[in-house]
Amino acid sequence: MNASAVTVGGSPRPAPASDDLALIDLLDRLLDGGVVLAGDITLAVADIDLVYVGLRALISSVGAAQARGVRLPR
Amino acid sequence: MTGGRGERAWWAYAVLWAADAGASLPRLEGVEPKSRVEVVREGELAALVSQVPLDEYGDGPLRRRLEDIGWLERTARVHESVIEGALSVASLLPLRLCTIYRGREALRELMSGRREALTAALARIDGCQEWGVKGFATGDGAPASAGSDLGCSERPGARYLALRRREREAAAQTRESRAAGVREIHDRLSALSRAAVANPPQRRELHGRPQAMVLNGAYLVPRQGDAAFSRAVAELAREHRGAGIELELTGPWPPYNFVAVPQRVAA
Repeated sequence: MNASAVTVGGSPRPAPASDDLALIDLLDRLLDGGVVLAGDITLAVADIDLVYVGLRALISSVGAAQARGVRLPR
Repeated sequence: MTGGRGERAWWAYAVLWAADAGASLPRLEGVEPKSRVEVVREGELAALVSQVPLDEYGDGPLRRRLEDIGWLERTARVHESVIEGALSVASLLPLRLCTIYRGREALRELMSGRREALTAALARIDGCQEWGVKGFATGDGAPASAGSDLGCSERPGARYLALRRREREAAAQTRESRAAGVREIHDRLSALSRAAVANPPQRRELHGRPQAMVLNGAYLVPRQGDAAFSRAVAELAREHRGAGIELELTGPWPPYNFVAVPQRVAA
């Protein structure tokens, strides 16, 4: 994956490995951007909303785990 | 749609010029493990696809899988890596996640029917890639002074109210100068881009940072302008740090934000 993130505001940080590319940035593009072609099977808006609900739950639980100092499997 | 056992379908990744979909295209694995990415041609256009089993990617099963965030993440990353692998040799239109066809013929017909819109979209993004710039509000900018010059110590109530008013004014000033900073950042980056869009900021529970997002920009930049663009981001970050804005650059991305093709009007 080419896309990487680097913070250029505060103290310089190395760009994280591509796997660290924020899932939310990726999904925002893959679910909200891109060409919409009529497929035989495509996602409806309701499906995409559902994805974001799941994502929010995941991120809040990851945040809570990190706050407790739990090492997450990669 | 439900698929019988063993029925196949085609997961589509991107549309590109047929002339670019030749031998130079790297060998790529699709979203289904061990599946090969293949090319479907229709006139001057081509699409990148790979086979998926219909009994797992039909309407019902696909919806259930979407609730599995692990599956979604793996699939999204493979979809993206196929597109980026092809992007290294060609300009292309990335397709939205989960665009699936029961047969190659249906996809060919679609490319033929949407030929004009697709070729126009390809021409618009030719030679460009997308960069993302996010801005976060840090600290509270210039802190309000402690109010030591307010005097009137014999009237503590009035002094308290004056202090609060001063704090509110300072906070409003910070918000205004930050908003002006965000506008300036977006304008200067837009001037270096063929096209630009300021998307709604991501919600805090999704980006996971304590700070509020104040800019969620995407910029379509010609490849030869990449270096100048990232230099400009670094410069703007330095200039606006004092105003309480931190910038984050992501990319290069396939041009997801710049490939909208007009929807066909329903008959």
